[in-house]
Amino acid sequence: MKLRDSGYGMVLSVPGLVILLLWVLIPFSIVFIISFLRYDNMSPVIPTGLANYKTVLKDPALPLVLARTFIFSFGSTGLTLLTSVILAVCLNRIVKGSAFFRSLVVMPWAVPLILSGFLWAWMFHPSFGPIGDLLMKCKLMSEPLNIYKEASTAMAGVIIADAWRRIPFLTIITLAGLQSIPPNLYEAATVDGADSFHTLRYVSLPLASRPILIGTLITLMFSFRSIDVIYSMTPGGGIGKCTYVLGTYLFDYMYEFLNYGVAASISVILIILTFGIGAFFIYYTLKKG
Amino acid sequence: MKKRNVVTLCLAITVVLALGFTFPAQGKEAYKYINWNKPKPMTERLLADKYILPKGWQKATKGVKELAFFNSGGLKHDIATAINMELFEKKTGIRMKALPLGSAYTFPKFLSVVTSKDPSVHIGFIRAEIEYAHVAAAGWAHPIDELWPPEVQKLYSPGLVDCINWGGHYYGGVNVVQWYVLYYRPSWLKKAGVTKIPETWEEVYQASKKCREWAKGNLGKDYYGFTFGATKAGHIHIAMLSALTYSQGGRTLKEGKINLDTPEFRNSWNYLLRMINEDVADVACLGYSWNDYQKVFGMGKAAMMLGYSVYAVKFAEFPEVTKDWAAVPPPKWDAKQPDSNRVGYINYDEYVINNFADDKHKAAAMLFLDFLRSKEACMYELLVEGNDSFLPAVYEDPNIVDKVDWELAKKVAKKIKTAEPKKMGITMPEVRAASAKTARIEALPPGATYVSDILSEYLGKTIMKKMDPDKSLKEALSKIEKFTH
Repeated sequence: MKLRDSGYGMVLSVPGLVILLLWVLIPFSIVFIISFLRYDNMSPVIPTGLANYKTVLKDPALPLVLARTFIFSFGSTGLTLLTSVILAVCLNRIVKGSAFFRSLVVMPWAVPLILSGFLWAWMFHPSFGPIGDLLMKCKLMSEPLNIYKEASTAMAGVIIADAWRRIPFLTIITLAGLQSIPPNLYEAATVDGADSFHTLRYVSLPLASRPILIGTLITLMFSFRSIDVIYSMTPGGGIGKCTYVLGTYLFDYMYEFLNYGVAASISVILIILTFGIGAFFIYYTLKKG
Repeated sequence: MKKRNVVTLCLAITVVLALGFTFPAQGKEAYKYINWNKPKPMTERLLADKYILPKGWQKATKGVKELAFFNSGGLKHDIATAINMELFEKKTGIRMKALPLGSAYTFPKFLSVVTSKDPSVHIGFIRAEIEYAHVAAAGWAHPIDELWPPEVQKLYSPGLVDCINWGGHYYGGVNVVQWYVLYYRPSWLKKAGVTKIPETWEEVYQASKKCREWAKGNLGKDYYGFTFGATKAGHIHIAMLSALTYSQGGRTLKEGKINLDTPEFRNSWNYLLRMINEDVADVACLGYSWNDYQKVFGMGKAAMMLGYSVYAVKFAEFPEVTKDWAAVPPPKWDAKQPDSNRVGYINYDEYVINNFADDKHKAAAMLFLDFLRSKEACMYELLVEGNDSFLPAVYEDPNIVDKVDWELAKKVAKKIKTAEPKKMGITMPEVRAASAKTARIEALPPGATYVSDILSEYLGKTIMKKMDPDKSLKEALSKIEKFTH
C-alpha cells in the first residue's frame, strides 16, 4: 500500500473521527472532569480530588448494589439468551406464516423500556394485577401474588420484564446466524443419522455461535446499565431496596440527591465495568474465532 | 464671568449630573412601587370575589410583557392553572407562559436556571417538603415578605404559613394544595361490626383489624382493613410518618434540623409496621405510589385509607365505592387529646420567584403569586380542578359555585384540549375546612432526600428481613445521624 493511499484514507476518516470526538470523547471528558468536583448544589463547586470516588467506594451499600447489578444483568441476559435461541430455532423451521410469527416476536421491541416496565408493573400488581388475579381464579394460588415482598421474587419480576423487551433483538440476531448456515450441512447431518437435538447441538449452535455471542454481549452491556424497567416497576429500588442496582444508584445521586460530582464518579465506574465486561467477551470471542 | 465662578458652576453641574445618574441607579426595587394595602387592605383584596389588583402595579411592572414559569406536567392536566393564567392576563395584560416539565425534572431544571443565574424563567416550581428549604437557604428564591404580613397569615392554614417561613422570611406562593382526610367504607365497617367511626389512630387500627378479619371470610384474602402509600417515590412514606407524628403533637424538625429520634416518631414508625406485621394492611403498601393506594381503595379492596381530599373526585370512576364512601378529618393519636390534634399532612406544591430575574419581572411574578392565593383563583382550583383551596375561606362561601365563570372554564378546557368541567358543588366542604385548619407540613433541610431514602430502605428491610422495628429504626437513625452531622 502506498503512503499516498494511506493519507487519502486518513482524510476520508476525518469526518468520522470528528463525530467520534464530539459524540464520545467530549461528553465522556465532561463526566470525567465533574467526577473530580464537589458539585452538590449546596456548596460552591470546587475540585475535590478523589473524594467522590471515595464516597462511592466506601459506601457500605456498594457491594450489595454491585451484587444485585450482576444478578440482574446476568439473569436478564441468561433468560433472554435461552428464550431467544428457542424462539430462533422454532422460527427457523417455520415455513408457512413465517412473516407473521417473526413480526409477532419482534413486537415487544417496539415498546419503550420504560413502558414495558409500567406494563409489567401493572401485570404483577399485588392488588389489581391480572397475573395474580388469574392465578387465584384458577385456584393455583390461595394468597394474592405479591412478587415485591420477597427480594428474590422482586428481582425475578424485573428480570422477566427486562428480558421480555430484549428477547426480540437477540432472537433476530440468532435467527440471522441460523439462516446463514448452508442447508447442505443439515442434509449431511441427516444423512449421518443426526436427530433434531444433535443437529442443533453440533451444527446450528456452533455455526451460529458468533452472532449469538455478539448479541449476548450487547444484551449484557445494555442490561448492566439498565434502569428503565427497574425504575418503573420498583421505584427507588423496591421494598427494602431489593432491586437497587448500579443504574438506580446513579439515578438517585443525579436526580434525587442532586450530587452531580458523586453521580459522575458512579458513571465512570459504570463505564469501566461495562467496558470490562465487553472486553472480556470480545477477547473470548476473538480467541475462540 | 470670573474664572473662579466658572469653576464653581462646572463643579455644581458635575455634582448635579452625578446625583442625577446615581439616585435612579440606587432607586427602590420595582416591586416596592406596589402598595399591597391600597386601594383596599390586602386581606380585603384577597377575599374579594374578584381579585383586586394592588395600587402601583402598573408602574412596578411597566414594560413586562410576559412571565415564564415551570409547570409540573402539561396544562392539559392543570385546568385551574390555565384558567388563572387567562384571568391574570385579562387583568394585567401580562402574558403567562407555562413551561411544562415532567415531575422528575421540575427541580433539577429550576436548579440549572438559578445556578446559571438565568433570568429568563421567572417562576420555579418547587415541592414544599424536600425542595423549598434548599432553594430558600441557597438564596435562589426572591423573598416575598411584603405578601405575608401577620393579618394575611391569619387567612391561611397555619401549617402552610409555618412551612414557608424559612429563617424569618417568606418565599413561597401556591400551585397546588391538598389536605389529608380519613376515608372509609361505611357498609364494610358496618358489616364488620364497627359501630363508631374512628377518631384516634388506635381506633383506626382496631376497626381495620375487624374489617380485615371480616373480609378474609367474605370478600377474599386480598381485601385489607387499611391501605396507605409508602414508596420512596414522591416521599409519600414521609407524608404518612409525618401525619402520624403530627397527630401526637410531634414534629420532624427541631431548630431547622431533622429530628426523628423522638417518642412521637418512634410511635409512628411502630404503628405503620404493626399494621403490616399484623396483616391489617398489605405489605404491598410499602411499594404503593400515591396513585396505587387510592386505586386500591377505589377498587374496593381496602376498608379505610388516609388520603388527600382530591381523591374523592376520582371515586366517581370506581363503581365499587362511588356510593359507598365517607370521610372524616384525620385521626388524633389518642382520645385524651383535643380535636386540634386531628392533624394530617399537606401535599403542597409551590411557586417561588427566581432571585436572578430582573426587578420588574420580580414585581410581576409577585403580583401573579398574590393573585393565585386569592379567593378568585382558589375557587377554580377547588371547583374546576378538584384540588383544595389554599384560602380556607372559600369553603365557607355557600354561593361559591355560582361565582365561578363556568363559561370561561369550558372555553379554557377546549383550548387546552381537556374534558369539559362539570358544574358541581364542593365535595365534603366541612371535612376539608376542618383538615385545612390543622394540617401541617415541614420544609425539610437540604439533603432530606437522602434521609427519605434511608427511612424507605429500613421500612422495607424491617418487613422483608423480619427485623425488630425498634432495632431497624435505631439503625436508620444512626445512618441519618452520620449523614446529617
